[in-house]
Amino acid sequence: MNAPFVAHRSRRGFLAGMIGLLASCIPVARSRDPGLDSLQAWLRRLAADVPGAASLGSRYLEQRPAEASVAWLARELFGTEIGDRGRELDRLIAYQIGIGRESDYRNGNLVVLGGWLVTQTEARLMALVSLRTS
Amino acid sequence: MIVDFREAASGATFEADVCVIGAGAAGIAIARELKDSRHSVLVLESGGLEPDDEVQALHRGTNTGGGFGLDETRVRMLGGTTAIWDGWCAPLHEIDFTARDWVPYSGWPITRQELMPFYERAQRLCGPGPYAYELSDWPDLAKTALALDPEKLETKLWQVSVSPARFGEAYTDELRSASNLTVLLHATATEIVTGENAAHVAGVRILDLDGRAATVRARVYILACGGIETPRLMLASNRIAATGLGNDHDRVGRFFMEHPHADSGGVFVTTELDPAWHYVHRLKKGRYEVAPGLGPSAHAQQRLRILNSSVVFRRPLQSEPSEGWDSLVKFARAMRNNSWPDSAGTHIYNILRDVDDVVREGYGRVTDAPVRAYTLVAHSEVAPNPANRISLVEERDALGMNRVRLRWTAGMLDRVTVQKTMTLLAEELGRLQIGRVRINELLLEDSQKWIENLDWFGHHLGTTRMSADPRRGVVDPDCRVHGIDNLYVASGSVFPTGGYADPTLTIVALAVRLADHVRSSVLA
Repeated sequence: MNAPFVAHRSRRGFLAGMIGLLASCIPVARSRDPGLDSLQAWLRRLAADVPGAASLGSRYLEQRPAEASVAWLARELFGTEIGDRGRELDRLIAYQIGIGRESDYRNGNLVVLGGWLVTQTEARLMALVSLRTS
Repeated sequence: MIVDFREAASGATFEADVCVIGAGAAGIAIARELKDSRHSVLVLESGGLEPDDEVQALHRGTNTGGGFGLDETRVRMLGGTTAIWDGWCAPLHEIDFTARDWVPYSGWPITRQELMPFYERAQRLCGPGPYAYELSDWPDLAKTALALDPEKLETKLWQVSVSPARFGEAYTDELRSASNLTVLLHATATEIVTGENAAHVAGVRILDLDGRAATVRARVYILACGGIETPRLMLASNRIAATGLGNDHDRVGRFFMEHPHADSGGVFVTTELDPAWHYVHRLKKGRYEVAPGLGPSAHAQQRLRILNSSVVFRRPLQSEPSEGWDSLVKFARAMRNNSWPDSAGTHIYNILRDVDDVVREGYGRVTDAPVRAYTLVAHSEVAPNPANRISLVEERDALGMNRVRLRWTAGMLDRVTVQKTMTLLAEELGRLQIGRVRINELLLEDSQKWIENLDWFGHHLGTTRMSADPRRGVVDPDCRVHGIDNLYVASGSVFPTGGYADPTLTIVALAVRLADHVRSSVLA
């Protein structure tokens, strides 16, 4: 019964945080999954509200269920599987996300999530976090 | 001189070389162009020097497309609807004149190049600055203009008069003093009288609200009474031609176009903007301002198969853009006018659904929080559609003329144009790291629901469209009604397509061009 409201709140949470790199100073609590930590850290650079963004990731996967695979999304985003690579993964994510966003904007690869037009790279990143946290 | 028909004897006959029906922007432009020539000009105006409710009621009709009342967006008085216009000027673009294979019925029989000299003359009449609508004309603007991908977007400019030229006031003295001009106030044309084959106009019947009647005889007649009254008068003049004048091919009244004005979403700014960034703050030049918008380039229109449009940054927001806040603004605006907004239920729903945003925005305003976002409003073209039409109904006005029904709707291409323009905007503002774009989700739905979110400018276009082919249009490239040798139209009704630009400048340019034609070719 509450699903629409939850989705709506998530959208709001996501929007509030859409201030790009400003959020990069937000500390990220270390979990036992360094890959997830890196992803979340990078997501924080895009959206201050990670759970909200992950919820939008779920919504993206509803639009494109064929992409609902951690391995597939990781390959598309980073060209590799996510593992325990620490700083190497940080650098890889930074590089690939930056390149991916720029390329998406140039090539018109945008998707609509909750009314917001976000790059496919960002949407896939959110989808990946959604799968890793679910 | 300016005289009042109510002081004339009933049954009189007025004679002139040229009879102009309507003293709005087009009619006054023609009168000015012909003033002090050796030709006598009689301008008929239904209203007077001031607004009058009884006269204004002659405009009433039915609008099934919603959005505006037919007597609210037009004014019957000297100067016509310039009495209430906002003074926005821009010429049509080159692509607006071309036949586009993705826009049915598009293409003008004249080019922008042919109209250019008249645009420059029209600019002087309409009041703002010099004729300068390219970014390169304005170094201050060009300096801060976005480095847009020309395959996608371009900066499009308007000039906006701070005190728009009210033609009735601005040119009264000239009309009054010209030796060859007579403006007849409170004289409503109710019928164009033709000979037996309806190929030549013999006169115009005029009436006032007291029942006074008279006839006007002239060599040339020019209908300059706007996109609704022009077809109305032609359709109502059906004594000889049963379907109305110039209507052998059932084109009069069809192809009605407006300019939708969509709250199309917003942009959440992700960078520090220059406080004087001109996309937000118009370039002030004293008695006028230059206002930039962002719209699809001709290349993008062709590639995406969309119409022309331009999106402007409108209201600053202290929180993120939301449809709830847009609805609240619409509600507040309507309440100020002691009315309810169209689709009030939808707006109430939006406000309740986005109540958190509405409260946050309200709090931001009370606490004077910094601006973080802007609403975006799309000014867009609509596709010509023969089903969008003016027709006569049985009900009659106080002068016995049939009232009109406007039946029309916005189409899918109109919606997709705004949707794709917003997407281009998101791509470019994202690439340039200006901000993130939110699209109004109604634009994504394949339904007519998005129409509930539109405002309208009161631009009534297309109903006597121009075409070299009498089967496809009502007037020829000289604005002469096909099949009638001395009847012309000066109005937005001749536009085959309307672009996104406010039409007054183009209407006046066409009127000046017509005046030249009449003077040099018809009366010579």
